[in-house]
Amino acid sequence: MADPAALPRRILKEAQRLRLEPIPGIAVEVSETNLRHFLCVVDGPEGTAYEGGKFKLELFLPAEYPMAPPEVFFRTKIYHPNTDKLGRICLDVLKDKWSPALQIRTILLSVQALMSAPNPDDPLRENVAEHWKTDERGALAVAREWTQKYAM
Amino acid sequence: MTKKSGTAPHLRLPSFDAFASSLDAMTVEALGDDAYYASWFDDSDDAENDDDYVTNADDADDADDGFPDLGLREGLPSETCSASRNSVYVVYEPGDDIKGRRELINRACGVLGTSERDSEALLHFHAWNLEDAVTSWFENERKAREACGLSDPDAQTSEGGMATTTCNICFDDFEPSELVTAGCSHAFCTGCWAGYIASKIGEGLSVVDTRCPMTKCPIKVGEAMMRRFLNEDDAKKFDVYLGRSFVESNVKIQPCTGIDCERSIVFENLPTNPVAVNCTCGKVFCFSCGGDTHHPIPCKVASEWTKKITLDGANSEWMLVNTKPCPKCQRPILKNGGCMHMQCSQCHTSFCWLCSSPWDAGPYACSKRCNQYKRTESNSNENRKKRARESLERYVFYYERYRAHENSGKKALEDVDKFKSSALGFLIELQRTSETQVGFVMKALKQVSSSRQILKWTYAYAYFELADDVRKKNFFEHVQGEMERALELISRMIELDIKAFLPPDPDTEDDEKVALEKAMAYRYPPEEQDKLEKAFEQYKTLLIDRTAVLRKSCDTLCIELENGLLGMSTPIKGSQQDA
Repeated sequence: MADPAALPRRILKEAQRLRLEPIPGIAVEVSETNLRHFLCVVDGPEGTAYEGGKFKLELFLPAEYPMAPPEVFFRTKIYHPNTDKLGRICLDVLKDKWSPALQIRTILLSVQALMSAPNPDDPLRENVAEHWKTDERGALAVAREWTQKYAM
Repeated sequence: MTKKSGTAPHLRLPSFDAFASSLDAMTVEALGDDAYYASWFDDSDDAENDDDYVTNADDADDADDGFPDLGLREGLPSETCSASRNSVYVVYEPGDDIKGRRELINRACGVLGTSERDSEALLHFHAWNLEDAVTSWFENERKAREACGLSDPDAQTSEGGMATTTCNICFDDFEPSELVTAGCSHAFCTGCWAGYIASKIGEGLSVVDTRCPMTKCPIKVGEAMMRRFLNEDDAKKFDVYLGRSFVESNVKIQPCTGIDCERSIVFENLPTNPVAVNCTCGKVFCFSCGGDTHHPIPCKVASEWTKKITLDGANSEWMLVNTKPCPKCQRPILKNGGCMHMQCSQCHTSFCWLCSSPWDAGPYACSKRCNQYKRTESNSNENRKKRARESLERYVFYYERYRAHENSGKKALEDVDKFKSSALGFLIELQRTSETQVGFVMKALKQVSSSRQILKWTYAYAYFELADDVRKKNFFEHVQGEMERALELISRMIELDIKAFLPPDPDTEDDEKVALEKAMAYRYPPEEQDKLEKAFEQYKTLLIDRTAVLRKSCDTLCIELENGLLGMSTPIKGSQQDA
């Protein structure tokens, strides 16, 4: 299955559509060496601490895709309670809420939505979530600082 | 003697009605009452009664109880008592769970007039409780459908005019006839369905609750649809998951707790009291808590007791009362001789047992003059110790009896096997009779073993539940005492008296083989044969009657415990006999 020659038509179609109808605020580029590997840049949503930042993400489609969810990682440092140091993302549609009817497009939009609405009650990084809960203003300031420092 | 007819059916018919009607009679009638006892003597055709018991269980098997015909069990047969008597259960062999599940789905279809798919989703949602499923359906069908992931039948018309011809998963285009939905409007091609369902099988037990692949679509994929897309291997796995989910969510079913046993115990009607169940694998366990059987006392009391006797809680209490720490190394020391001069065996410190101060006054007396009473806090210490000692004595009292019955019960169980393997054969030979004619001894042995099991737990009950209520305690001890007496009478008969009819005990010098040969060659002396056969008849009548008495007193004790000893407010006729 991992043989690129056997790449399902669905993946080809998705890549094609992403090229023809790009997602506003999200750039997606297929890796030259592996057609299952996508390099994405998500604009920090307006009106959030991430505004103005360009966040790199890596997206990989496993052999079982679309029956199994894509693997998505932040490759830009981000101060967010639902991500961790390694860039892993805690997002339900990437885990148990995955449905084969979802796509790369919808997943990236979900990640962007997660940036707009951090959920400190279901954290991946305890200390960041704690910061969010006890001092949201302070946490947002750090997030803004990190955006300037790493995403601009 | 007329009274007899009122109670005897209870022995013959293990049915609930007969059992219930005998309840009243039993609480009023005294156990151990002479007249009552005599009535059992007259009822000497009891051996046949016991055979009836077996037939009866077989009859019940044929009854249309809605269960697959899997060999019905009537609680623990004759040797156990009340709680299990009125509860009927079956043992599911591996694979029967699927049959039972199907059975229940069919029943729901019959009651509700729904399709199999609807019934299955509804029952799954209601943890396989048919009553709940039916209630929710008739209360509000639309709501019930929504809750369990069934589509609204009125909205289903959209399927005909399916807008899309593209599969939502592989994005390929298809003829509408090639696309399939789970009953909602989301269409997928058969290839993607197969892939989706295969991936769900890989997720394990949750496959039984597979929903439409579309994001957030709540519609459940029916069993028939699942099977349509499963390959042979996955279909087998699916069956296992369906069965397991059925057993795990259904409160009327418990998986057997025996090692490596994959059977389950299934009740048609959930028993109200904790009930011991006996799996085909031989494991006996409490249906309610899954622990070892503790009939007739509640699960909570049994688990508290087990914790108490296994935990070092009681141990440390014993240490507290019986030992003192060495003043130097603090190791606990038990005084095993008369002299007050103690020497720690570990650090060799010498000290006075009474006041724990160093022993330095020579061999005769403590230098601290600890015989002189001084008013200090050590006085209250003594009080505390006294209380601890009393509580410990109480515990030891109950514990000893618990253990004694446990051990005797185990031995009785071994005796059953031993009897079956050797003595039974000798008896048939020597008494020139058949196996059915000596089966009563087995019944007595089994009754003894199960009675000991029950008695054992009643001591745990008494320890926890009867500390404060003297009236209850006295009543309980009366009922318990009656049972113990009945039990010991039988124990004597089956352990000692029976020896008169068996080959003599082997010489201690003989090895096993020689002993067995001698025993097999043994015959009664010809002039004794008639006499011994007659004596055996008498022995049989007496033992059968006593077994019946034990069974009845065992039942009484169980019923009383289950009802919180309410029987004590009923006058006891035979109590004067104790005086």
